[in-house]
Amino acid sequence: MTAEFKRGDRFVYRHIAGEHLLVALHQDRVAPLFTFSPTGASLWRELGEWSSVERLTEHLVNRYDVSREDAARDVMAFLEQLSSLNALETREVTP
Amino acid sequence: MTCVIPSIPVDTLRDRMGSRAMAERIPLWAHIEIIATCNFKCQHCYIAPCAERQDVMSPANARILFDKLERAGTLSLLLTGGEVLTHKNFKEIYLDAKRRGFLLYVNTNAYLLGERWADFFAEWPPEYFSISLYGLSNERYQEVTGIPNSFTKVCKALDLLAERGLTYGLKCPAMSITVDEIPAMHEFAKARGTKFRYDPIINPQEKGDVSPLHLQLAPKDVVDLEERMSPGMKEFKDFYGRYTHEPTNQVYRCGGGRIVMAINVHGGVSTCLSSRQAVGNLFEQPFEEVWEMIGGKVTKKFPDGHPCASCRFRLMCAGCPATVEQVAGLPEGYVQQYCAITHLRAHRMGIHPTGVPRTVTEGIPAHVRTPVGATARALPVLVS
Repeated sequence: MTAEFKRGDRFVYRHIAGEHLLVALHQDRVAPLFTFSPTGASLWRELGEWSSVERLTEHLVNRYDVSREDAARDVMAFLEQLSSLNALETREVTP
Repeated sequence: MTCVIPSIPVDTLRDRMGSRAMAERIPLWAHIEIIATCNFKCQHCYIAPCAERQDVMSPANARILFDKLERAGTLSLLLTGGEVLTHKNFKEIYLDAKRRGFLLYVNTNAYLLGERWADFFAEWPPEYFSISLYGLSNERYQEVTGIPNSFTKVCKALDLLAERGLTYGLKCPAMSITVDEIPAMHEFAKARGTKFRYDPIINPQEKGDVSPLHLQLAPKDVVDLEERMSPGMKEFKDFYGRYTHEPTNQVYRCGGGRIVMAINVHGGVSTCLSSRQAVGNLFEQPFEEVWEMIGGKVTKKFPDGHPCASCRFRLMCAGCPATVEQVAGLPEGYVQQYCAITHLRAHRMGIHPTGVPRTVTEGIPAHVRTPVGATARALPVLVS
């Protein structure tokens, strides 16, 4: 089984005054908004569709000057953060 | 490379965005009047007494605004009135804005805010409710708002918000019929763990009726209140000490028309809520066209010899271009009453020798616009 991820509907992404923002719609978080790095924003866009760690890593490797190992580590850290904010949906699929 | 979410405090993030928005003229804030009518009949109000039943923004028109503001880079929306909870489509408009990722702020008198509204807001919370408080008894509320038992209902609303962990602040116009209770209102807010602010400037009605101005406190009464609320004028001293005070002939020194705008029920755009002179219309014109028009307005300069152009107390002035505009007709006008409050304030702070503006002894230059007629007669200039 492979884990797949998709952004949830509890946040809205905005790009304002140079900031990539994640705006919370509901009350169950510590702050009303968070900010991403540009690469985080790029992953958030990818998470509009169900996606695996491998596919997200591939997305970064294809766009940025980064090793696969570093990209995978960043993707994992990013997904963990989104998960802790309740901003992710997850599912298990058979490859 | 990192894609993680940085741990930046929200206030730092807001400051950073505010600085960039100021530099690039991004309309970070919009104040939207979705309804002009109200369920209260307040003596001091400058909007609702002039409003007609049709002065209501439809969800379709709100959508036009939200589309334009979203593209223009607006983050925060203040929904205001009139009384927003009397708008029959409030939920539809509110949720449309919320789901687009605007940070929402709500002005309300809270009279209609019962269990069902509280539950709705608990599910879809605004950042902040700014709630008007008009006294600490039903009798005082009725005197100000004309509505019986309204204090009891407002207290119940505050309890409902607090029970749901929703954030609100309280505010009151400091005027002849509320001034005696302002310190106690501050204590009332403190006991509820929330902020309280008061505003000592009363404006004439939008269509010119000056009756609210009869409630305006005289300068000495304003400053007496300020000293009572902050012994030794500490808050003003702290504020004054944080900035430099080089005089400037720029009329606007605030964010109005730079990072803030106000939009009335008919789409008319002004610099802020206190300004009632619309410059352009967002229901009818492209955003860029309107934003450019308002940008032109806020670059205005004072005419030569204007008393405000050489004033070093402008950052703590009792008035602002919008309130001056309301009583003198032009933002670059001059209102001696505001000047009197400000100079008396400076005197009590120990930074002005007499507390009397020089226009009292030297006169106001003839080419500077001042309030006239009934407006001028209604303003208590140096009367205690």
